[in-house]
Amino acid sequence: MLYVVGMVAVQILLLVVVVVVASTPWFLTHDAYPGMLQSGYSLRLKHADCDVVIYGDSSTLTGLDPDIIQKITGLKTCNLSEGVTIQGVVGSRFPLDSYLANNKRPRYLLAMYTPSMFRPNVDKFAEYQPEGVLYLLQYDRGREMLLWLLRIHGEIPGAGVAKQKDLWVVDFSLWAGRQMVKDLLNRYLPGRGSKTEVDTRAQRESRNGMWPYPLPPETECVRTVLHLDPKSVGRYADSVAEMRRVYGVEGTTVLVNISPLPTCDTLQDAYRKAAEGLHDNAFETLPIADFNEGDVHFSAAGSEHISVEAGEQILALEKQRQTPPSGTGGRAK
Amino acid sequence: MSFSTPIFYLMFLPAALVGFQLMGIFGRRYAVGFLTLVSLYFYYYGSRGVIVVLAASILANYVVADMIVRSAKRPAEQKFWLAAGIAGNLSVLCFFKYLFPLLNFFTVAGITHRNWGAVILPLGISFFTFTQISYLIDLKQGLAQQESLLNYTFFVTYFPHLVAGPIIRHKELMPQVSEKRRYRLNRDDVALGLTWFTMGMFKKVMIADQISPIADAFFTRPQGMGAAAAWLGALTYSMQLYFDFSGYSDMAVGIARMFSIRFPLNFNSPYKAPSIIDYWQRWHMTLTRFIMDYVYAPIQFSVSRRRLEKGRKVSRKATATLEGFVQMIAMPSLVTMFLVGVWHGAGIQFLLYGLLHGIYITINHAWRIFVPGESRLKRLVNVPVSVGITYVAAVVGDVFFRSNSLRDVWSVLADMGGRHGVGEIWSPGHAILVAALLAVVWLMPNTQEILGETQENDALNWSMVPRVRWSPTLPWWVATSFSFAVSMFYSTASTTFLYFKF
Repeated sequence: MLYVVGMVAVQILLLVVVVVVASTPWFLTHDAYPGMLQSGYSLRLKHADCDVVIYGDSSTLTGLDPDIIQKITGLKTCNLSEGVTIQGVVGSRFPLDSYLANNKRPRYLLAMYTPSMFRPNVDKFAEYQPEGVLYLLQYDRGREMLLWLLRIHGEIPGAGVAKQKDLWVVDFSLWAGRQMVKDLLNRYLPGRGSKTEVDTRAQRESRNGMWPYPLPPETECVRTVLHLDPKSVGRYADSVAEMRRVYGVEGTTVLVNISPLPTCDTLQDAYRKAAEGLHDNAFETLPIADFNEGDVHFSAAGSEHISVEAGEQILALEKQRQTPPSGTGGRAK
Repeated sequence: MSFSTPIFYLMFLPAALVGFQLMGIFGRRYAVGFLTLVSLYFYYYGSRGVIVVLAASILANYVVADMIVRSAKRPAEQKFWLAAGIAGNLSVLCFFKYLFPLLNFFTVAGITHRNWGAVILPLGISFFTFTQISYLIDLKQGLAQQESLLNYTFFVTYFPHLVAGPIIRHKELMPQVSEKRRYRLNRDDVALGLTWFTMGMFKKVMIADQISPIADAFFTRPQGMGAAAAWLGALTYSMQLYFDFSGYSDMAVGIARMFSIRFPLNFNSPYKAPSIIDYWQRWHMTLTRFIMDYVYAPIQFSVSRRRLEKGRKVSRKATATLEGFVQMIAMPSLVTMFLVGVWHGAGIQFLLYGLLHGIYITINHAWRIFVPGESRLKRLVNVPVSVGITYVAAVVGDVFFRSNSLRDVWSVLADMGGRHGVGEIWSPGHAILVAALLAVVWLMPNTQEILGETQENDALNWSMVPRVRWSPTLPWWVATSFSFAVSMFYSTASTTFLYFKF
């Protein structure tokens, strides 16, 4: 009897302990997921007082280079973007609002989103993603989050037909446990090159919030899972308007841009149509070598290209702004 | 709901065990009724509306079983009801599993000119259909007794065997839920069952699921590689299939045991088999038994009867003649294995898989019969050599089993044959991994041997550590708890077992 009870008790205890461990800073360097260490950048900035705040999804995080924009505009720039897996859980506003609470308002808020997810305003708890839950546990341990974690959810993304109804906290605990086991294997199993030691937080901080994605440029057209069936491409005009309405106040000019796509992308017409009239830049396509990790994240060449364009876009606005009367926010033209 | 998903082992299974313990207080009817209900929920969870097919199948077979019993004194009528029952079951199976793929095949071949679409394949239909066919035959032959609707539903749906076997016979399951037994959890059985389940889960989650991306990558783009890489891909898949299905079987047997119900074993180190005949007595053992009892034996009986009617001999000596061998050995083997292939799926590669194994078995029989026991050739083929030959034959068969099309089959086989030279192994790490897994398969004892649960008359397989025996002690507790924890962390909601599609 002790054998069975002990075995069951150990597993339950492990599930709980893993969640507790995942909420400590130690976990971020022992989760075989160096990419998560860089997240939460906006929460660490106090009195940074950037003139240009870049915000968006991972295309923006890996693409818009604050240094290039700063060089062109002469305005202090920082990139506060977070991946969609984080924003889907914490909501699109939490990282940005946390920054605004500790810093003065920017003159420009440049938001950019990949065409398949051109939806700037996302409510919190929109979907389950372990990265988002980890972000919450690390940076916002509230009662609301705990209740949400324990909620029965409808389906697991990617589970296909077999939609499961697990408790999200169990899913997260299993994910976190798996990451720790992977980390152990990476560290101690021969032949598994450990990437755990890469300090992505330092990388990001040295680039004023941009995180160059550590992969070589693509050589052939690759579609990522982010690119949906054209029938499911939505038009989120309300979401874009909400972004402009909420943040285009107190002298902040809001720019909502759309990320370029590879020229070989067969869904570009559907995306162009869905986002038509909603963005402030031109919908552009670039060679596949300007991307890495599929067609969402940017290579160094792609990053430079879009950063120069964004810098010039702001510079033009800045010149316009310096000729009276200055705008009071709202949509940039 | 797959056995290796968190929803199953963290919620469903504990709830089923606790519920069984509580319902057992009120006696057999409540305990069996509870297990039947949770089994139906288990099926509904994964299949939703398709449960109607299962329910209709159970009801129809229950009625047919009743008619077989009622017509016991009228043999012709009883025979009619049995034939109708088998035909009905096979018709439903053919409709869901074969009709639409066949019609679409005709369209591809240009015989018909429309897209016939598809129907949803009810989960486990091959398994619950075979279970019920065996019941009807056993009932007619007096090997099973008529059951109440509740008992019969329990027999068919008991969740550890419902969706992917083992294929259970009435006499194996129902006597274990008689009035005599105690309907409470037995601590020894729960400990043993939990350990068995854990071993299966480790095989599935930590081995089969971890190597499946390697095998998938190989079979997704199989064209144009050297023999070394092609063999590595094929060997990897053979390991994935082995650990996936043996892992599933261990989990099923372990779950059943937690409720103090013993299932027949479904796996007995098939890659240690020294011949292909022996291989089939070790791989998916309950399917082989079903096929032998209900297909091979009747065919052989029919052939023998016809030979006797024509005044020909049916003795062992007669099988040593070419004509006798073809009629009494080769033909039944080929037909039987062809049907095994068909059972696995509607693709032409499954038919060829079955036929290939039929040819293997025929060659194996010919070797036994026509090559003298003391010949130099037989002495050359000692046990390690014959185990190796059998394994290689199985791997070649697995190429048919796994490939997405016939074109891929020939491409892989040609590459394995050296069409593009020996080439290089694409990843030495994968080669080491496959070698390590082969060492486990060939040198270690199997699960039932470790647990001391081998079947009667089964000799122990050779292993390097024959004395390793599980017992509910601290070292085993640590090892099992650790294995469960690691498997738990690596288990995900979206994994499924390879045999679920059958």
